[in-house]
Amino acid sequence: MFSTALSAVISGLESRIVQVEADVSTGLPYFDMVGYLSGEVKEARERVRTAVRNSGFSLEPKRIVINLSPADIRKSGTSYDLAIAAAILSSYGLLPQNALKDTLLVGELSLNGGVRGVRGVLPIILMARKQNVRRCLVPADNAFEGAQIGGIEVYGVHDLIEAVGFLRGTAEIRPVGGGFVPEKAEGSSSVPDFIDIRGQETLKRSMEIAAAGMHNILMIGPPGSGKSMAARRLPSIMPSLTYEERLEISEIYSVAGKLDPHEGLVSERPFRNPHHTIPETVLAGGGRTPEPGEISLAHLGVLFLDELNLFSSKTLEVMREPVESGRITVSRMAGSCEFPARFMLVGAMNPCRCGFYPDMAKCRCTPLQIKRYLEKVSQPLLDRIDMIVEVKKIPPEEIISDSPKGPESSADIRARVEKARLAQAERYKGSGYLYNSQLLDRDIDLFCRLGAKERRLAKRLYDKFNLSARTYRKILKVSRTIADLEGADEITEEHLCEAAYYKSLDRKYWGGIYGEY
Amino acid sequence: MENTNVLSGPSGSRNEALWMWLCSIPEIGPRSCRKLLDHFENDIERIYRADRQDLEKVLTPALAGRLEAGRNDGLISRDYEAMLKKGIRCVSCLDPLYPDRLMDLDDPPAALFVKGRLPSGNELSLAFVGSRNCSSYGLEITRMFSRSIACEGISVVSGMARGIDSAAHSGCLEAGGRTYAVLGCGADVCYPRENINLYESIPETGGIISEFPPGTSPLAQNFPRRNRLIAALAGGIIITEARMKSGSLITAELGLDLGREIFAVPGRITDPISEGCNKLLRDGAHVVTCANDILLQFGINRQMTLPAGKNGTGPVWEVYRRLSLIAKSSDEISHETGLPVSKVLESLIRLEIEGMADRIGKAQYIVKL
Repeated sequence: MFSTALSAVISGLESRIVQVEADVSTGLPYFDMVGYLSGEVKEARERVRTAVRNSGFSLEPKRIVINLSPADIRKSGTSYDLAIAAAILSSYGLLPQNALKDTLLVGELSLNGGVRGVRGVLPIILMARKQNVRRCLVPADNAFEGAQIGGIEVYGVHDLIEAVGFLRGTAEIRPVGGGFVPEKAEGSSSVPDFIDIRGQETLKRSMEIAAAGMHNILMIGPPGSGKSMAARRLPSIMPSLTYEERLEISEIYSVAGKLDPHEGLVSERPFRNPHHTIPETVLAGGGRTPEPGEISLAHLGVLFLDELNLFSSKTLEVMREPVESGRITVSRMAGSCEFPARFMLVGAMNPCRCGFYPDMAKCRCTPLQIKRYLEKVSQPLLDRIDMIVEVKKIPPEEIISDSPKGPESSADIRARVEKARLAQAERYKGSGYLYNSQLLDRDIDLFCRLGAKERRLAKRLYDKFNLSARTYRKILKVSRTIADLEGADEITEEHLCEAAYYKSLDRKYWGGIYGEY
Repeated sequence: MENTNVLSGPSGSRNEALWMWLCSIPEIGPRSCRKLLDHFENDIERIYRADRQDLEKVLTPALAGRLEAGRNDGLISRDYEAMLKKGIRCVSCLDPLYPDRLMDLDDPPAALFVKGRLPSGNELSLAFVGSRNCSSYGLEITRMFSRSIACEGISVVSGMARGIDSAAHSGCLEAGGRTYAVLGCGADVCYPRENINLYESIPETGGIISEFPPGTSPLAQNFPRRNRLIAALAGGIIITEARMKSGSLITAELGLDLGREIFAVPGRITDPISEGCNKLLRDGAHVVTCANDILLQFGINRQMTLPAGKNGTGPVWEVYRRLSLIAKSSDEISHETGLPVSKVLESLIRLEIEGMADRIGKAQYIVKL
């Protein structure tokens, strides 16, 4: 007898329905599976057979053929087990065929009949909802992923017996949904706060601007000056995630198998901090069946690269494309897929090997050593960084300050950042942009209009600092953000000057160590 | 044959070519040359033609052998032509152009290779020496001093190395002065390479000087010999930023032995890069706190003029007044003035546009003099 069940294949973040067809007929006992399957899918044969037996169903020896259709898409992973089992049981007449109608099943079977968690449940559920599938049976471990998605019934099952009982209508499982996952209490956030940082006003100011416009930023300073400390606190001043953003991020984490069952959807801005020895495929994403890399896991959040110049140049160059486009295309033999990667790049590095340059009383690096050290960061990558800020060690008097006015808390800063984001949302309504940093060259003149006085100043900045056209446009974007932070409609001279401060002088570091000498 | 033309040509070029030959023989240094010149009564022609027996009266057999081996009319005239093509001349110690001051040395070079010109006999000159790896403060004041003394017509001698040397040369050139670079490599070699601009502009008014034949690489052992020329060539030596064990300090001591005036710029007592200067001061060097301190020694009395208009109002001026030659960060300025950082940053950029402040590194500013 022939029957079908629904499951789903996932490639990158894209998933589509897979028909699991089972045919059981008389003949010599035989079990085969077809449909362009990878090794782990073929192994389902043993898992399913044993799990079904151990769940108390006895299958007469018959000729069983399974086809996963469409048969021209490569299928990998272990998430088809449940659907295969259901289709076989239905073919044997142990499960009514109409029980499988409009029901999508994903889950891995263990030999004792238990249903184990799999990756990518969230994008599958989202796709199923779009395809008007009525209900989804997913492993109980992954049920939370469907908890906050309306418009589709999602059931978490623990083992095959429970699933069959439910499909037969003899057992009841409550659909997961609204309120299933305890929301984190407000204020219990584990993200560290800017209130911990004393002094470093310039650094904090630049962080605020960077967060407001999602500008990529590079910090240069000696060890122990608080670069990583500030970077870790960045997510705390970025606006809290909207529902859409949480879904977007959670999809990626679901595919990567990184969703925490106790947390439900991702609720905090991602902060990814890969070590500098990371290979480029882990940063960008890859694997035989492409998986999201660090840059995708940092989507809508912060990708912090400490010791930026120690990353291999190959690794850094990989990021050039996603930094511009907000997406990364991973091409492998099994096909190519696209992952979103709209992250804010935050780099940190020492100014030289010993870390003390330009304090020549302490730095003993030769000019050549310093040059070599800095040159690891390529010009094309520098061109993609909107702001560079030098961090100095905090003088002791600021650490042991008795001033009653302590450092600002992240919440205060976030309030201003949110205001600036609102201004940007207002301005870019319908234009497809979200932040100032995304502005394309052709739209800069439209959105960053300068008055006559400002144009004169820009001209002087241009000459004085010998700016390139690209650098000049970066300055315009950053000044737009500064204006937004201030709630100003027009970019003024003050905004331009401050923006120039953050970008004008890469040359001081990257153009002859001693300036013009 | 064109090649033999030089040696058979006018006696002037023949002479110069032979001097070049003498100074280019490896292992025959200034002292051996001196002995040869004494023996052959300053006649380069006789040295060139001397037989082995005669030579061995002055030189060891090995050196005499080297000298004989180098006698090749064709090669010499080819090298000579190549040298002239590079704009380099060879000035012998018998030449009236040869600086008299060098004769103060125990071992004056037999000849100098020069691109441009040599300092004339009555030319006032000062040498700047100091650390290659110096602070922004060191660079800025060296430039300032160099500029001021160049304005008074004193020429500047230095070694075209990185750091203080480069600042001295460029300060002098900015003021339109005359500056001489004494190199530890051939006069046709620009070392370090990033100083190519200096290398190109120094010979326009001054000169690139070396006692090493063209093509010599900047070998470490050449630099002490170069330093003695710097010490001898100038009437005084200014040391800005020298570490305790440094070539600059040795130059200063050489200068002292030659009776040159020694000036040292005091540094903070805790700075290792100024330790050498502070030691010199303790030993009795002249203190330099302004260009006038130096000029007075040369009988020139000038009051330094401070940059005009230090008394405006508004945040920009407030920031300006906080700047000094010690680099300050925007945080420090914000702390001192009580202005918000954004205002400070804006002011700093404005000052920089006006050329009133200079950025050292990324976030540290000093006033521009």
